[in-house]
Amino acid sequence: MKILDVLKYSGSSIKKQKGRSVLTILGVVIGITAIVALNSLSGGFQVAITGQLSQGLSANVLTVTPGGGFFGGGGTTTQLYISDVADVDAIEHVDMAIGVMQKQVTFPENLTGTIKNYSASVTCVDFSKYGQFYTTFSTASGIGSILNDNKSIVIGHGLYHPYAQNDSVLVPLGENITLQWRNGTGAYLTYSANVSGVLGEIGGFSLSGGPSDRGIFLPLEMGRQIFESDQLSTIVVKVDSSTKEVIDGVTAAIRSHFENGVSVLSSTSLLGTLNTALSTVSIFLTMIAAISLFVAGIGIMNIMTVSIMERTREIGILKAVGAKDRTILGIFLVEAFLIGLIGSLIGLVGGYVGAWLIGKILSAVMGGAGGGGGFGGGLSGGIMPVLGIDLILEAILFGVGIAVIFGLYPASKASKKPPVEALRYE
Amino acid sequence: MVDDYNEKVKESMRQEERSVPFASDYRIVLETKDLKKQYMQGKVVVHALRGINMTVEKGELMSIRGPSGSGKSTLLNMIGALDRPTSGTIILEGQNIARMDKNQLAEVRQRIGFVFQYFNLIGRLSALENVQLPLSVRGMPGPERKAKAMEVLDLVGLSDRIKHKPSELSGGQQQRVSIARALTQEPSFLLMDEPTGNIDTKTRDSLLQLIKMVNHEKKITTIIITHDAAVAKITNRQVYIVDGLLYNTEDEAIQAEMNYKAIEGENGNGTERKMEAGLP
Repeated sequence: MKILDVLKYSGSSIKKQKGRSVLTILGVVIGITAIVALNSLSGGFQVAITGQLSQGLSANVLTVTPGGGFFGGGGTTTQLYISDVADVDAIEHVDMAIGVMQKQVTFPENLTGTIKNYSASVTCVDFSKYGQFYTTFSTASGIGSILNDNKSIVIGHGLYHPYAQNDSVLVPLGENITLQWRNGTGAYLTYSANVSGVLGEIGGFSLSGGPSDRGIFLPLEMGRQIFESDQLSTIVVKVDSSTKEVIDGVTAAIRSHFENGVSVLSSTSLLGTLNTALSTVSIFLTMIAAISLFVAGIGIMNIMTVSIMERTREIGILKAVGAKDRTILGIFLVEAFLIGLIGSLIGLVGGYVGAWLIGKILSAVMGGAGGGGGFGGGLSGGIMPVLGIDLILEAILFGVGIAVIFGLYPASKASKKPPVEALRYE
Repeated sequence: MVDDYNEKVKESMRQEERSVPFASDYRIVLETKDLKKQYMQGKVVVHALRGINMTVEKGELMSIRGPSGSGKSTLLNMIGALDRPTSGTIILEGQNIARMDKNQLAEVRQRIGFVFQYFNLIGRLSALENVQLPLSVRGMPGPERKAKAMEVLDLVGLSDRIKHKPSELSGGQQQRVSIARALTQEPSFLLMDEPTGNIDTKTRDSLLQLIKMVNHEKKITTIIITHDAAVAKITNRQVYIVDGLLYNTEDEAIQAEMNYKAIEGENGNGTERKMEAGLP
């Protein structure tokens, strides 16, 4: 029997049993929809997160922070000091190293008096070098300029135009702002400085040491004086190559210099960790979705078994007109195949549309909450589900595979019916 | 004549690899020799066929009459390549089909045109599609198939009903479709199982005329298995089956039936086996 004729024949039987076929197909649709939605959505997350993370962060930049390891391992914690920067800078393959000092401060009030005791973090860095590490440390899309006069300060876009404060300007450009903080003995200290620039909007996350929308940036020397401290929160290191060997080598060298009391993170290792976490979640969710597809498979098996019983006589007729066992097997397998294919295609569209809707809802929710921190400016671009050709093929293959595998048993049973018995069947 | 035939058989055995011989090569379409079939019914062995010897010549229109339980259906299954005998040979156009495997039998069935009592049409397919089915199973391309189907549907007088589903046709029309389906593959012979058994008497006569006409026009060998004397009457040769054995005359058959009943009576198993309408 020609394959086209088999398709037509099997198709006519699916069409004949409309209600039953729709229900069977629905099982596949639900499974594939779930798989496609979860996978394309987690793919979209991955793109959104890695995209924002890698913004302004090159692959050859390492951040050194006190404390042993990313997951809190390692017993001793080595503090970092301004004097350590030169040591790190001297390590082979290190292009440049800078110290970053971060402190928490509050503004007693803004100029118009509408905002009081607003807290923010201060990042003290060498302005001339910092921009070479982070392209986001720039006023190109912001206001004013970054002055290397060791006096003027720069603020993040979020402070100039904070989301949560009804558009009222917190820090005016060109004015002096007053910062207030507690020193080691608990007494309040204040300091006033001129704001020379506002950074362009960064959005997304801020890595430790990197610029953020809500940061205040002071020259390192000034920070050292006003906070009366040499202690750094981060040393940011630029390596002369972004190959894995060099990055691993430098990482090891820095670790051993600080006797493993620090953790060294590269943007690639951070992205890798995040991606692994996301993939794990995605695999887990896919497995849950696969269970529903498995249930759909059992449904297919059940319905085909019933359908074959009802069509015993038809099998007899086919055999009487000369159909071989494998022709009958083919007819029933093609039926299962068609059910799987139709279900997968509908599921693909359904899954993508579902993921798109969820992405819209999620980014709306997160965008609103973004002002509060964490996600920073929120995932402002929205989460676009990613539906690659591999996911499309996987979904179709999976849906069709389940249908055919579960159709195999009833189809083979049907094909083996002796013609005499099949023809006698009432 | 027998020698002639034997020569043919030998010849075809020499050419075993040529699996489908030309139908026109054989004057004898079908021959069975000492055909026996036993099967188990529960713990009892049923001797359904006890040694059938029959010869069917090309172009013949013959009937095999017998009451129910006589072994009619079993014989039909054997010569229709639907089942295998316990022993004996079935020579279809020089080929012994008695020991063939499932796939070979399926191929043999492509050369047999079945007409069943209950029509056995596929409900969701139109008359035209039903008639094309045997050709489609053989892998014949669509247009060629359609032309052949149209031709036979025209022959059975249904060219204006080709788009109708079986449920939209009368019993007689459905049986015409099934005759067309049997003819479309240009079979070695037509094998009809109570072709009028499910049809009212008025329609029956025109259907029988059609069967006669088809046999005459197409020169196609036709075997009708029936219990109905009226059906058997249209055939050129009538043989009778009683208790798994074939008889060439009605008298012999009646005698056999009486003997059979007597033995059953003696054994006292009390099974009432009424002679059906056909056999007086």
